Amino acid sequence: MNAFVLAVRNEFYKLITRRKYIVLFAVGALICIGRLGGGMLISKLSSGMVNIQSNMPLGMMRLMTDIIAPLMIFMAVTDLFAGEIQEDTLKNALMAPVTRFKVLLSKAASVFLLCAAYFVLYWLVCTVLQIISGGARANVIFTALGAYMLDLVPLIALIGLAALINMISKSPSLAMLLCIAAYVVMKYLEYYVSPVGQMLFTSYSQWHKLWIGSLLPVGAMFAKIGILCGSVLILYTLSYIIFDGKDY
Amino acid sequence: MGNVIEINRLTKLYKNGRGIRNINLTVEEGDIVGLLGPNGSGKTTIMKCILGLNRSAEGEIKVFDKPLDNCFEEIMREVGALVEAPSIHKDLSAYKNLLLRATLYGGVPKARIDHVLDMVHLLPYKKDKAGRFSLGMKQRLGLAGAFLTEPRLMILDEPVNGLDIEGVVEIREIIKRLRDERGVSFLISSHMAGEIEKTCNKVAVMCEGELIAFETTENALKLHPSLEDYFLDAVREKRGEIII
Repeated sequence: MNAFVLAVRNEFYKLITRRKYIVLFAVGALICIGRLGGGMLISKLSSGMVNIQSNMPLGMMRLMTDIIAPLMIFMAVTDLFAGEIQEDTLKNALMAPVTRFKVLLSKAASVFLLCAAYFVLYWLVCTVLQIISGGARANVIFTALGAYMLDLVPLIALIGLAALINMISKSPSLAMLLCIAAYVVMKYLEYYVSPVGQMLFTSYSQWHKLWIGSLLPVGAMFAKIGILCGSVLILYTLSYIIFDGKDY
Repeated sequence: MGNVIEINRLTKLYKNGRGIRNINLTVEEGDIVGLLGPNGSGKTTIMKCILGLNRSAEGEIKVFDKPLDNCFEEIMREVGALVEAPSIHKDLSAYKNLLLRATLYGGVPKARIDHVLDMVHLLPYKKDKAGRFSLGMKQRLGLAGAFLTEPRLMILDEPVNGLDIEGVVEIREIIKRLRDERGVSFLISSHMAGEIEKTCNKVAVMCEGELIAFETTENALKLHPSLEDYFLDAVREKRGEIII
């Protein structure tokens, strides 16, 4: 089997054996249930006057793309880079028949796979809740699935950012702290410094809005795709240069 | 016999000025070469360069007659290694640690994991978390990981570190058996001359980042009562001290 595929399997296995990712998923699922329960309670208290029946999968999407997925990415990337350096387990991958380039990409790919698994599971949870609360329509549910898949795209850049921060951090705790700080600053710029914020890939967390619903003009879409591709290229190239030059 | 490792003019200096200088070393097929030297003499640095863990080293490294830089994946498929402390995932069992390592190579049968655990006498503890193991047990698990893929070349850095007397003898016997039965070549480092004398057929003496002597163990022992004396003479000669 291809060395890269084997390396991805190896890294993914490392991630899924850690309980904290299951706990994080459970927390997100509980928030979804809480939202449904809250909606039902308000409806009951107001004797049906106030009825919250939004599209549950799409309604919970921002929580997923802006909070849970970034947190999970920072934890996973830190576990696979700075964490492994601290635990002295990175050597296993570096002494295996895989080049450093593939090691770096396989770690990023395994985090991306975990994100994809999270998104699908959240979509499932939200869909089941939507069915329980009534008002589930097939086209809405499957549009939401498409939106979840599209929103995975900008996370590639976020994984690259976390990888780069891990390359320059000396400990997992510092790496985690810097990842969160960088993300908060970028989100702040997105919301409060409009022209700069729009140039950052973190402002494309709702990537599906480019493709589903009202389409943007072609020029604007190309600009956003270009910024995202450029960010990915820069972040991964810098990460690789640092990773490849280090002694372990 | 072909060369398994061929190192020419290898130099790797760290920021603090320490490291290795102008190392030339050859390991032939079926050799058990011992790198003997005090702590900080550069034994681990040589091993790390061969395994691709150290970068920006000058010189040439060939493994199985192939340049390391260009054929890294191909070479590492046939190399097993234990460098410094064993790399162990503390939250996983001994079995899962090896399973995880096996996924990187592909095609390692699960029965092989039990086999190597049995080789190092860890089979009864296969389901125990590796983080709870003693130093010696962790070392055994690290060695099991190195043996796992049936490599043609094994690079072992202080392999008997932390092992009890029985463990030391067992590992020595495993090394010799693998060489005799399967023709596996070994590069082993140690700061214990006695251990190198009992295990290796060739000895390379390292001192202050330089390889100062390289000889078959048999020849070294013809002129010296023990490898310890051989080592001390080589070091004194390097330092320009008078040998009486």
